[in-house]
Amino acid sequence: MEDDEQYYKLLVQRFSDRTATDEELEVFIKLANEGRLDKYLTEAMNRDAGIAAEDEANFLPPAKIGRLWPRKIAAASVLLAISIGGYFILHKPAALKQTAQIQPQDILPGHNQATLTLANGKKIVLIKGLSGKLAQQGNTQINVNGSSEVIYTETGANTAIQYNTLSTAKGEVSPYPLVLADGTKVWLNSQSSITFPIAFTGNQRHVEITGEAYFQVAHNSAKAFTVKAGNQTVDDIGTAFNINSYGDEQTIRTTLVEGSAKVTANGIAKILSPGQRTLVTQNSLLLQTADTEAETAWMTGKFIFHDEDLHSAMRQLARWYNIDVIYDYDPRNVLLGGGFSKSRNISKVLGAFEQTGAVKFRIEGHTVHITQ
Amino acid sequence: MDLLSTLSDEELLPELIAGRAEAFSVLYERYNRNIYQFIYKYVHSAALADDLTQEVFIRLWNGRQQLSHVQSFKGYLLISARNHTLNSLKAALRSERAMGEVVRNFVAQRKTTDERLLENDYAAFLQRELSKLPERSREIFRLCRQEYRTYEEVALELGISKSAVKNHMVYTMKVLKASVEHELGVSLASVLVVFLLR
Repeated sequence: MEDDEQYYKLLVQRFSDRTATDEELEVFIKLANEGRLDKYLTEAMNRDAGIAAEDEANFLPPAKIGRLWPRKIAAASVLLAISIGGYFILHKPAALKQTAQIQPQDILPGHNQATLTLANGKKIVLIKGLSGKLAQQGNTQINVNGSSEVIYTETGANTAIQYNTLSTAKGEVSPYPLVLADGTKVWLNSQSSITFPIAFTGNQRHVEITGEAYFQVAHNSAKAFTVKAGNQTVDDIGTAFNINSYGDEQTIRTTLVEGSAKVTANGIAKILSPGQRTLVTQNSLLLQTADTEAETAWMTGKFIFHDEDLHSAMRQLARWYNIDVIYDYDPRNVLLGGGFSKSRNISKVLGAFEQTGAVKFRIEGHTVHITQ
Repeated sequence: MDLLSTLSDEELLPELIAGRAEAFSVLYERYNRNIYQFIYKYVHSAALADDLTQEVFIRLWNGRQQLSHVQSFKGYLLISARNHTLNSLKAALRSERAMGEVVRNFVAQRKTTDERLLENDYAAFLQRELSKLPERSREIFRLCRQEYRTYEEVALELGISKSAVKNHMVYTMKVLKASVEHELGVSLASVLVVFLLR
């Protein structure tokens, strides 16, 4: 009973602050229709309007006005009746719908693979099970250490600075972390890359990334470590952080897990504390509290969605399952939640999304259609 | 009209009960934005909120003879608005047409997670910046921008001149503008909107 009360309050709040999902909106309408939300609506309205208990004594209702839904609406609603009819056919409560059908076609998850491009253009494909010396670049040796790290080690002073690039395609994730010449460790998510010097000379350590990477920086106050991603720069102050800078996302998100880091973009700089993130757009930089667990879920082989917008969730799936997503039907404002292992086939994830009743999928080869 | 606008709600009440239209106008001007914002939050439609706001005031006028027992005019008006909104919302839910208006607007204006985060950030930021201001400036900002009072009303309520109210507001907006643009890199208007519609 108490649970119901909490839920009813939440529904009312989400209706009034316009954050309710389609399902919540339906439940709200149904319950409000049955008069079961009157108490909670009244409470919320009292709070919003600043009505005190003693104000009720003022009130004896004056004469009624008959007409409730007046003229301005009347004209508009002829058109609306059609589109809204559609809305309710499409958005029947989840319970009335058929539950998800597991597609006969399925798509396997991505795999552990990355490509290392040396300064001379030579490419080395990194997979699990490698060990020993991979290559030599100048006075730097590249080794795979016990199949758990790719390590850059300086064996003598490097005169010329050479750059290497580690990259992953869609459906790939780096099989092991990269250890730069200074000891800094970098993990690379799907469809991402990092370009770095084979050794750090001078008093700067500078790397550039695309996509998403997690850094554990070997702190050295005499040699600043900076990461460039799109229009932003991160200055490490001794630290572990995640940068999500995919070109198809609207923001660059930098999440600090430990230590301290400075993010600079658009002429603004912010110092991050652990558990905070910055959102950088074309013109702004915003500091927020981060959901560190969700932001770094990819590191532990998971997707974690907390009220994730459908489009955003599908972009993440596209990178890992190497799929194209086509919206035959574009449901607006569908928010999804849940955690999934990245080792499952895509049907498990899509099946869970379908359970919400808000969306359906059809798989054709490597294309996922959003249908209704 | 000018004279009446300097009277308090409770001083205007007998004038309203006596059927003096000017007293009604003053009260309408004083509260209609406030009532509209409140109703809007529950119907999500500008057209509906407009209509319902008008109806709340029509009811007030038509029922003016029954207001003699009212202790707090504002309390009475807010409860009247609340009851009318609740009843109208429930009536709307039973009518496919009116409900369509509510649902369509709700869906069109629904906030995504990012927007919610942004709003919370903006609101927290403004609260923080406001807390750095002198208490008088803060109070005046609250009355003018969050309670939608006019400079005259605020001057009257605080017993200071209208130009003093204006000076406080100019100062506050200048300080907020500078910190919003510097810290958030967005315009003050975009942050204020979020703050005021909460």
